[in-house]
Amino acid sequence: MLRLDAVLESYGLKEGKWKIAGSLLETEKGLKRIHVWTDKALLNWHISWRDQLAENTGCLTDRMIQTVRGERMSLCDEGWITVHDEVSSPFSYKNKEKETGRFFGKYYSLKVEDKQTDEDHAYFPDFNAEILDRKAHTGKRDKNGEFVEAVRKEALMRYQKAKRLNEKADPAPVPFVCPVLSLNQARLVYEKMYWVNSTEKPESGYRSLSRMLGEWLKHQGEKSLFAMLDEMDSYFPLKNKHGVPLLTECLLPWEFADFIEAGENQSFGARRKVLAERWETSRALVKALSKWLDVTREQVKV
Amino acid sequence: MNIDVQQKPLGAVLFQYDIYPEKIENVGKVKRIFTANGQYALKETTMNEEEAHWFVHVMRRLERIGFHYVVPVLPTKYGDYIVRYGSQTFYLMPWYEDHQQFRSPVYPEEVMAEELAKLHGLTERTQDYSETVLEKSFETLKKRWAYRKLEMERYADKIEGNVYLSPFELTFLTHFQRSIFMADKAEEHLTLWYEGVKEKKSFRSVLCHGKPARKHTCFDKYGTAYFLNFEKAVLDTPARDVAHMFRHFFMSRPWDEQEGRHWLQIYEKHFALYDEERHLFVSYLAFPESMYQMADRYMKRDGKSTELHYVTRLEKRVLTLNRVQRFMNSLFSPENENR
Repeated sequence: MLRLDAVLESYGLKEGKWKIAGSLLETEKGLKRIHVWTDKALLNWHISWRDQLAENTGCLTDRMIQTVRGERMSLCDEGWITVHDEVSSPFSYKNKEKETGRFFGKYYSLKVEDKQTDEDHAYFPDFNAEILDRKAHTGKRDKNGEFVEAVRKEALMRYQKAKRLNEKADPAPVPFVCPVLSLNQARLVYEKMYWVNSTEKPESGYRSLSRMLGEWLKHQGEKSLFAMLDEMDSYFPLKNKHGVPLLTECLLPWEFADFIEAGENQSFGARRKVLAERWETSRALVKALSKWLDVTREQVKV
Repeated sequence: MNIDVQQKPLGAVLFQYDIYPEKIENVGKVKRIFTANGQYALKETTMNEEEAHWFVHVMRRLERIGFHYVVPVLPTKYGDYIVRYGSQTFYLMPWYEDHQQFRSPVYPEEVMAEELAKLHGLTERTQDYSETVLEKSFETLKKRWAYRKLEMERYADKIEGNVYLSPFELTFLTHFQRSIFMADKAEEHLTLWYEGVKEKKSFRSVLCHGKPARKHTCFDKYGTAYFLNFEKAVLDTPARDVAHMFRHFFMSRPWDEQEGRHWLQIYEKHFALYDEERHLFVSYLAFPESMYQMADRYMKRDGKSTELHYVTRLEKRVLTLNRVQRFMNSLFSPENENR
C-alpha cells in the first residue's frame, strides 16, 4: 500500500487525500492518477514514448510528472510509481477529422527506440491458425456446435484471403506503438486533446489501429472515416505502404479466436453476441478500407 | 488588461505548469500571471527547434555555472523548459518587479556592465584557432560595411542632384563625410583586430547575452540586476555584447567620453578585454550603421512620421557618432595606450 505522505513529499504536493486508495489522489494541483510499475524497462519505454508523443504531435498526453528532485518516477515497495494528471472531460471527435487524423498519423509513425528503423519488413500477424482447424472443434452436434462450425468455415475463408492478400503486400516498416485500446482515451483540456495512454506493453503491428478504425467507423460513419484517413495518410502512408498489411490485419478472424478462447468462462449466448457485433464491425471496416484504398488486386469480402 | 485563461493557448500552456491563474495581464510581450502562490511571467516567442534547444542549453548552463544574475526559466511539471503550441513557443519565469528607484544610489549602467562582465568571465573559452574562419569573419564584415558605404554614397549622390533638399537630406549630407570618416575608422580598427588575432594565433569566445539592454534587465530594490531574454544568446567575442550594451547606453541617455570610459573600466575590472578585442569593440561602435539606418527608414517612409521626426532622430544619431569618435580617441590616446 502506498504511503500518502511519501507520495506528497516526493512530488512537492502540500495537500492530498485518496479518492481511490493507492490509485487516485486529490491534491491542490488537481486530481492525480498514480500508476505502479513492476517492470522498469516497460516504465522507461513509456516515459520515452509519452515524451516523444507530446513533442511530435503537439498534443497533451499523460506524461510522467516529475518529482521535486526532477525524476520521472519514485521508488515504492512494489516497484516504481508514476504520477499523472487525471482528466475526465471527454474529447469530441465530431468535425475533428483533420486534427485527429494528424494525431493518429504521427502516433503510428512515431519511433521511440533506436533499434526501430525505417527498414521495410514483410508483416504477418501472429495469429493462431490452429483454431481454424475442424479437428479443433469436436463438440456436440447441437445448434451451438453447428453455429461454431459455420463461423469456423467463414473464419477460415477470411484467414485464407488475408494470407493471399499478404503475399502481394509490399514490405513496410511495422508500427511499434503503445496500443490504442479505445477512442475514449482522448480527453479534453482547454480545447486541446489530452491523450491518455494505456500502460500496456508496446505493440508491433496494426492490431490496435484496426480496432481504433473500426470504432471510428461505428461511431462517426464512413465519410468521417475517409476524411480522417486522408489526413492520417500524410503522416503515416497508408495508401503506399501500410494499407495492405492493415487490411490483412482487419481480415484475420480475431473475434473468432477470442470467442473460442473465452471458452467456458462466459455463457455461449453472451460470447455469441460479442462475436456477432465484432464480426459486423470487421466486415464494415474491411469494406470501407477496401473502398478507401481502392483495392483492385483482389475483391475482398467478409 | 485582464485575459481569460480559457482562451487558446493560454489554458493548455499553463496546465503544463499546474498553474491556476486568478488574473492575467498583458505587459508588453509578457503575460503577468497572478496566482494564489505568487506571480509569474509567461513569455511568448517564436523559435525553431534548433533555437529552442540552444535556449534551453543556455539556461541550464547558466544554472550550472552558478550565474545568479538571471531571471530563471521554470520547468513544466514534466521537466520541460519551453512549451510549444503550434508555431508559438512559451516559457515561464517568476515575476520579478523591475525597480527604477533603489534603496541606495545605484547607476544601472554600472551594474549591467559589471554583471555582463561576470557572465563573460564565467563562460570564457579559448577557441581553436583557424585562420580560414578568422579571415572569413573579417572579410564578411568588411564586405558588408563596404556595401553599406557604397549604398549611402549612392544615396548622397542622388540627393545632391536635387534642386531643393529636404531638411532630412540636408542634415544627412552635412554629416555624410563624417560618417565616411567613422566608417574608415571602423575598418581600420577591424584590421587591427584581425592582425592582432593573427599574430596571437588565438581568440576567445564567451556566452553573449545577445541583446543586453535595460529592458532585458530587472533591477530589485537593492539595485541588483537580473538579465532576462536569452533568446538571442550566442557564443561569440565579448566585444559583440559590450558594443551592443554601449550602443544601448548611448541611445538611452546623454553621456560623454569620460562616462563611456568609466563604464568600460567597470566592465574591465571584472573581465579585461584583450587589445585586439578593444579594437573590435571600437570598430563595432564606430561604424555609422545607426545613421545609415535612419536614411533607410527615410527612403521607405510611409507618411506616418513627420519630417521633423526623421531629422531629430538623425541628429541624435549624429550626436552619438560624434561622442563615439571622442570616446574612441580617448580610448586610444597615448596615455590610455600605456594602461
